[in-house]
Amino acid sequence: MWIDYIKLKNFRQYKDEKITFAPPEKDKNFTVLQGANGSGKTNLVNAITWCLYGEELRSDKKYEGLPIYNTAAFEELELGEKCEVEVEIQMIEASGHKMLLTRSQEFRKLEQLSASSDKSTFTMMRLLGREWTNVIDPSYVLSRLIPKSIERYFFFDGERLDDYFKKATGEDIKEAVFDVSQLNLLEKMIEHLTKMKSKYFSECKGLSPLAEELRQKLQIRQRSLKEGMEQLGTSKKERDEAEEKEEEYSRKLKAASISDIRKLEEDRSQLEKDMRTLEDQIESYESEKLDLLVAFHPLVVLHEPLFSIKELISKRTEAGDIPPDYKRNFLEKLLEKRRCICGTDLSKEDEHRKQIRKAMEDCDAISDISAELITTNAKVSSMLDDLRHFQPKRIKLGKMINDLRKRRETKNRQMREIAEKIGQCDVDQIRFWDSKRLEWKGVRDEKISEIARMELKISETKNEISATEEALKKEMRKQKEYEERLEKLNFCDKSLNAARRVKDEIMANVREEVEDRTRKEFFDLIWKKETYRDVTIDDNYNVSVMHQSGRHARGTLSAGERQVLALAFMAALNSVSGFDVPIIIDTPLARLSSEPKKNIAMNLPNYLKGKQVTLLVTEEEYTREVRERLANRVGREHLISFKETGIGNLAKVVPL
Amino acid sequence: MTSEKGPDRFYINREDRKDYERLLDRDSPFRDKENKDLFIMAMAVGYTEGNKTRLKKREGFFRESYLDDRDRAIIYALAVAEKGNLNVLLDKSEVFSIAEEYAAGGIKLLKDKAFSGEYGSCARKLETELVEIFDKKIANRLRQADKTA
Repeated sequence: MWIDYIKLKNFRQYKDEKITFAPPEKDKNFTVLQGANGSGKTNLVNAITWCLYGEELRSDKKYEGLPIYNTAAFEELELGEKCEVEVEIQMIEASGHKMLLTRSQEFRKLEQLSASSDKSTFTMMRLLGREWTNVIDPSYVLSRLIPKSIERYFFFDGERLDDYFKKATGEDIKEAVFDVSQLNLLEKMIEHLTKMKSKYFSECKGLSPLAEELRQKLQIRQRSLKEGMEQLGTSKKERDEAEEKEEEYSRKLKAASISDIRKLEEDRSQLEKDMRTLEDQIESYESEKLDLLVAFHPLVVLHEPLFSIKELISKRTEAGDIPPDYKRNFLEKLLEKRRCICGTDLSKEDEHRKQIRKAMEDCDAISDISAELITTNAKVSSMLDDLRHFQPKRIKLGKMINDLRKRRETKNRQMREIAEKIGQCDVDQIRFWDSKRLEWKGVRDEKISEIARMELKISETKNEISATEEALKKEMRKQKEYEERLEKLNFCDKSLNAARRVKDEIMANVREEVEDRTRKEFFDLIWKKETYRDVTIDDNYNVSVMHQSGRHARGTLSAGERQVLALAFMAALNSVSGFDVPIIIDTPLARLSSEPKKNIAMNLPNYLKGKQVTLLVTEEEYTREVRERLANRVGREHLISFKETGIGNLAKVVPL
Repeated sequence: MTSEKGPDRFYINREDRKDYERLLDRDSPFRDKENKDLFIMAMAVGYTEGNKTRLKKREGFFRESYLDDRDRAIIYALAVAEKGNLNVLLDKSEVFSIAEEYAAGGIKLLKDKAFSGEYGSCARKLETELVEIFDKKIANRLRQADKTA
């Protein structure tokens, strides 16, 4: 499915515009819309989400709190007259069928600046043959085509992508994989079964004093789990909010009129970035060192038994017992079968049989495990050889960690010096912004540790709940009349386990698919193909980029490389989701300096072949070089020209 | 190398399971390790401390097939050291029992190692312990082996 055109009428700065898009066929599947900051790029994405879901889902600070109608058009109205806001999107499905999605809302002018409106209306029409047919339940049909829960993997903000992989935890990645797995039905089933279980347990009233105590405990713990989960959600939101605020004040300081302050804040931001990288590197080396210690622990601690088994096996080898001439159990079998492999009859107690018996008596029992002993000896020898590498490896890692710690200390000192200098500034506004930035940083740090504590508590509560449930079931088993309820509970448990297993299996499959696609897209886009070896998403949904040396490199990726990883991940989610939806990326290259911008642009034509891709870019992003590199893939190029008038802003879309 | 005709899994004391699970919690230095790694570490600790405990109520912990040749060689070495001869390897049940009893004797000590002291101190203590053993008992032996070779 792809967007053929979008018509915007009185939507924010668009008074009456039609934008056409390049079809995904052939190679020219890219549409580029270039516009300055504030010209209407983000509002174009907002127009799409408003049309589809009745909501603007991207924040555009410049327009926050303002009505969605075009204020210039509204100004021209007489009191009591109506202004209609309408966004119409024509899409073409893979089958070639046209589909027209329209949302409109009327605003009546009451006074100079106020308006009343009814709810917006949404229609969907399909061109079947030569006739346009109204779709009866448009919101439902749309939810099967482009579910709102996953729209952010189709229409995404490129500028935020870098942040995404700077901050994304395994949990965030898991959430994204869950979103595209579309497991809502299974989730509802799990929810329902859990409710049923609580119901059956609550029916145990009066079973026995102990059961009553357990039942009450269970209720308290379930309540506490529910509250804990809610609090966790709130705390995560508060952490994100604090982070936003901290960044907002940092941006203000960076834009301050005093150049020294601007410089100091920029340095501080850079230092913070460096600190994060250093922290990641230290953590990665420390974990490598712990792995080394754990791997060598049995070798070092059990060196005596290892030296000793090697010695014993060597002695037996020197004595000629290993490898043996015959295996004892081989000779035993010949006697049992009463026939030698050469065909000689061994059924009588004659010389042949006696000879075999003698050979068997001479043969040691360990001849039966001689092959195992040979392998053990080889393995032990190689382990003892490995012991030689213990100290050099340990010392090397320790040195690396120490060097990084020293660098971190230096950066820390530099940050303290900057904080002191900014704090001594004689401009009240600067000191205010700085104190606010610090205040929000404190809130963020506090929230981060609060979240960790909550997660631990939640996991403990879950364990307590299952232990209490088991104890309660044990009590129920003692009474015959609870047999049926117990059966129902066991059925719920089995079904819950099955539903969770299916959910985990599907998610694991989707995770693997996302991993494969991310890897492919990453290596298609990255310019340093020799530097990295692999991209993986582990069982805990942690995304890792492996350096050729085998070390995890995610913490040390540059902004450009992180952007590539995020673009690759988004493309993977998009393709694995199974939804055939075009992709729109708002400012994909905005935060990058010229070199990574050039590098990404060089490989961007490889991105999402066969999909319709729309890039919303600024002039600074869409440099001559970037434009030249993309030229072969761009089917449409538009310029959003923008002017501010006394009565509102107006955007025109013209060919670039 | 595969172990033939032996038991198909290793057992632990039922009451020790929570200690093993604790070692896999997110605040544990060994959180990303597998059951078999923890078992071998516990076994090594039990052996060094001379702590061997009979299993009371036992339950399966991991399958024998999860071991690699290196793990098997370590377990065999321990059994041979315990019995003083290679013949013990003919009876895999005996080999497994020795490993299980030392692991049962070492798990609590391993848990103490992991969680006593401040966060992160386990790695430091483990490092000091290993370096001390290495310098005192292994370095010379390796040098001598080099000379002989």
